[in-house]
Amino acid sequence: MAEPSTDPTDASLRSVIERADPVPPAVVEAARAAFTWRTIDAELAELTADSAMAGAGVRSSSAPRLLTFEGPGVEVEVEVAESGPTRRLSGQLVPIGPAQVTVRWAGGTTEVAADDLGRFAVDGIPASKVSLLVLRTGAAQPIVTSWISI
Amino acid sequence: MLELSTSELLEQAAAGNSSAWDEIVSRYSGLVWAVARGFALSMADAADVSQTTWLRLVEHLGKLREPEHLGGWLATTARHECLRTLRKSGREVVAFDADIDIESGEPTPEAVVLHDEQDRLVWLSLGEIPQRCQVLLRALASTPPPSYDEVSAALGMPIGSIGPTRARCLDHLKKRLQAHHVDTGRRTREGGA
Repeated sequence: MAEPSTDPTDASLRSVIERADPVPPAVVEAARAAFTWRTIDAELAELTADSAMAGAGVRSSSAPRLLTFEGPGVEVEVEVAESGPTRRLSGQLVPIGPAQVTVRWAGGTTEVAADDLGRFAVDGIPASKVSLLVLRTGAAQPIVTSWISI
Repeated sequence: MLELSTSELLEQAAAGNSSAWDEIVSRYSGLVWAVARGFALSMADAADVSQTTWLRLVEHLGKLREPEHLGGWLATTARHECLRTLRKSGREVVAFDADIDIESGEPTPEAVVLHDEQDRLVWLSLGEIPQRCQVLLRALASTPPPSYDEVSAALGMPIGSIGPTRARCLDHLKKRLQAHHVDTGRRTREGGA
């Protein structure tokens, strides 16, 4: 009997990986579905600070998580408090001012108003990936925050 | 739609064409998955990294500076998300740049779908070579085959290093495979005695 080859070719490697670890259909489906969150003409506010990333590994799970998103001329600060399977978000818009805030996640959306001081709070958001869409009163363009797992 | 360039597909997707988006997904979901799994993330974490990567692209539709390098952009984004996931869970990539083999573990559940012994050993060996090699070989083997530009982005490594690194990684794989063959041979002989 011939010795089995110990020199894996690209083709054999590809074939093994394709069978052992194919892209799960649900992963492809989620990638397709991401398109439904496309926003037209929105300014992006990207995550610039996340308390969960500072001192990773020593984080106390009881302390609320603080997220900061920054976009052109605007900052969105969000405090995330855990409550079982759901999250409570308390936010602050900078500069201050009223706005309509839409919390978006894979399973739905919730709308909440930010007051004249730019503060908002919303409860019962499922622990999942979320993004906030913020339309400030009088603004021409909405702001969307980058997606983040909460 | 196969004849469209990634720039054209991106343009159409940004204008709201979901078929263009689906085509982008079918071209690159394999590469994104390969990067995530190459970093030894669990199925759940890899699915999470993949979804985040695609959501990032949705956010940046119409804003990419070099739309013709979409694959590289996705691979870079996926790599950053992997490192982020590892950091957040308190894990670090153990010496990503080091040329050391990973501690040999139990065969992963995926191995059960491989009935052929040689295939099973290739898969087992792939999980034991240095992390960087796993990302590299998996990215190179993703479907459809990526460009070196995309693979270079997946690793954060200059294009010129891909070829030599690939050769070293295949060498690692070969050595692991040989070691398994020796083990298997020994077991077979003992079993038969």
